Amino acid sequence: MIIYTNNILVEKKYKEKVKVIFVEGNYGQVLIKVRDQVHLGCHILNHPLYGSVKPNETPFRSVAVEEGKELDLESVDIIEYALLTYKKYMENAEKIKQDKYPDEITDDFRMIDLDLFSNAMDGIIKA
Amino acid sequence: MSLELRKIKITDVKFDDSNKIENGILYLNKKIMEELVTEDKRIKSVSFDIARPGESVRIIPVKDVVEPRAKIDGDTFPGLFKETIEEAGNGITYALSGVAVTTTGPIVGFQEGLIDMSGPAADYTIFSEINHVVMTIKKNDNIDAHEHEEMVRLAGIKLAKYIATIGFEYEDYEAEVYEWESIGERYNKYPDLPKVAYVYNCMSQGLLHDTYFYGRDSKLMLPTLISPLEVMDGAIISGNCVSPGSKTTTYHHENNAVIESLMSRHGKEINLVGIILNPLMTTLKEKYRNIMLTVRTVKMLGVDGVLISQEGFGNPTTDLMHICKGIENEGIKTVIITNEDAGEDGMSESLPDSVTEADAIVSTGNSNESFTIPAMDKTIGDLEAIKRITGGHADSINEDGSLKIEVQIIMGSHNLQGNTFLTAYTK
Repeated sequence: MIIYTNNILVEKKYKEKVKVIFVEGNYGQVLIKVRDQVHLGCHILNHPLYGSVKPNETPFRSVAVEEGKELDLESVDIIEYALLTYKKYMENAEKIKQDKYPDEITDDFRMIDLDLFSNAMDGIIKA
Repeated sequence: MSLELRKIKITDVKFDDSNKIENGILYLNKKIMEELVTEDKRIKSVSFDIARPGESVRIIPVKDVVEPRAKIDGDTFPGLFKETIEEAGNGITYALSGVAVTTTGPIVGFQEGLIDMSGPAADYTIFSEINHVVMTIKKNDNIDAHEHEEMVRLAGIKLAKYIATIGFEYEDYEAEVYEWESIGERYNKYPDLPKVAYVYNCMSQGLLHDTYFYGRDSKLMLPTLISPLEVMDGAIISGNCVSPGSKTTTYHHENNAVIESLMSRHGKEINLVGIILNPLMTTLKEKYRNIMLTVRTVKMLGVDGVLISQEGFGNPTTDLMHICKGIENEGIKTVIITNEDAGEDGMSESLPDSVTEADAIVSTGNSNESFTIPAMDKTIGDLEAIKRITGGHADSINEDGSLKIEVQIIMGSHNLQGNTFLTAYTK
């Protein structure tokens, strides 16, 4: 299993258990990394659009994949739809000014992301 | 299973020295309520306010809305405050309609939900037409976000349950008796009516994204056959407040519009044979397992048609679509209810997942539809929160105090059980 994340709390929690690739980038860049791996045969384990905090709100995303050799069409479908959704939100968000979040709110987004991702992973890996 | 629901219509709420209902007016003693709520030692302080229909009042950010319900001979909202659990949906339940306990106060930095009691935003939510006992709760130090969320959630339910008991002595109520027989009995009773099942999706994903069934986290349950009567008795409560337009508050569960509509047609146009509560989870393994189990349960019920309601948006759309696909492939006609995120101009692709089998969709509206709402004389809560919540943004507050918002910021604006004013009728 490989976890792609830009959330340092997710990296910290799982790096001793599984391979974690920290992505220096935003929500969309995590999705792109995952998309690239899916096209090389990886299967997605958790839905990339987990939670209800919108892509133009939370900066954090964490996606677990399982390595494989054959293209998994279901994973392709899910990641491509997720990227389309991400782009749609960002295009619409560009028309309005987003608040620059203070650090404590960014911390809250990070914490919620860790919670949602951990709840998903509970059925897959204990950490 | 038989439930008598006694509804008392509350027309106004006032603070008073004693708790009582007189001529449809609910009188509440603040001190008694404060003592009740602060029994939870995690709570540092609580304050109360009242918001009435038509007033120039805005409540922001809203966490949950709860209709007061209590049983004379049992437990509403079972599984929350006692270790023993009674099956809900039997006996006599009092419901105070026209009033709700509404919780506010920060839990995390981004906050959710706005209710306006008058003006244009009031036209978009059922909550503008009821009185609110608004409770602002502050936590003690060293209470983490999970404890904080639980504390606020339980306080809202506890107070709602308590307020409903004030109705026990009041005799001016409208009673409705609901019966829920075994599946076999229902099949035999209406053999000629089309058999219908309802798939009731609920968010089950983590902090501020959860649902509780008999007080337990729905992430831990499998798709389960439930009775509409236990839903009316508060067996399902909301722990979910992110993205307010499409969230099912506890009030929406208690007054599930799909259940009300199906029950009113039961025995006349349709034979409602079952409701399946399906938790919406995030790993694909769990999603596909739950989809399979839900489809299989529907198939085992032998129904002719299915209605699926949604909660949330994004990953839950995958569950919605694949359950629909699975059921349609069994030859069973299926209708789904969802909202759309089609951008401010309505031109973007509106759903993040789709299947060709989803050929009958009821839309509860475009959540990105934008408009301006005027300033209100009074704000309960924190207006600045609007800058950081879904449907609001940094420039939401105009110089004259008016707000530019998307419809999804309004609590329950496109509720996915259809308990909303965003609607269209066909003739």
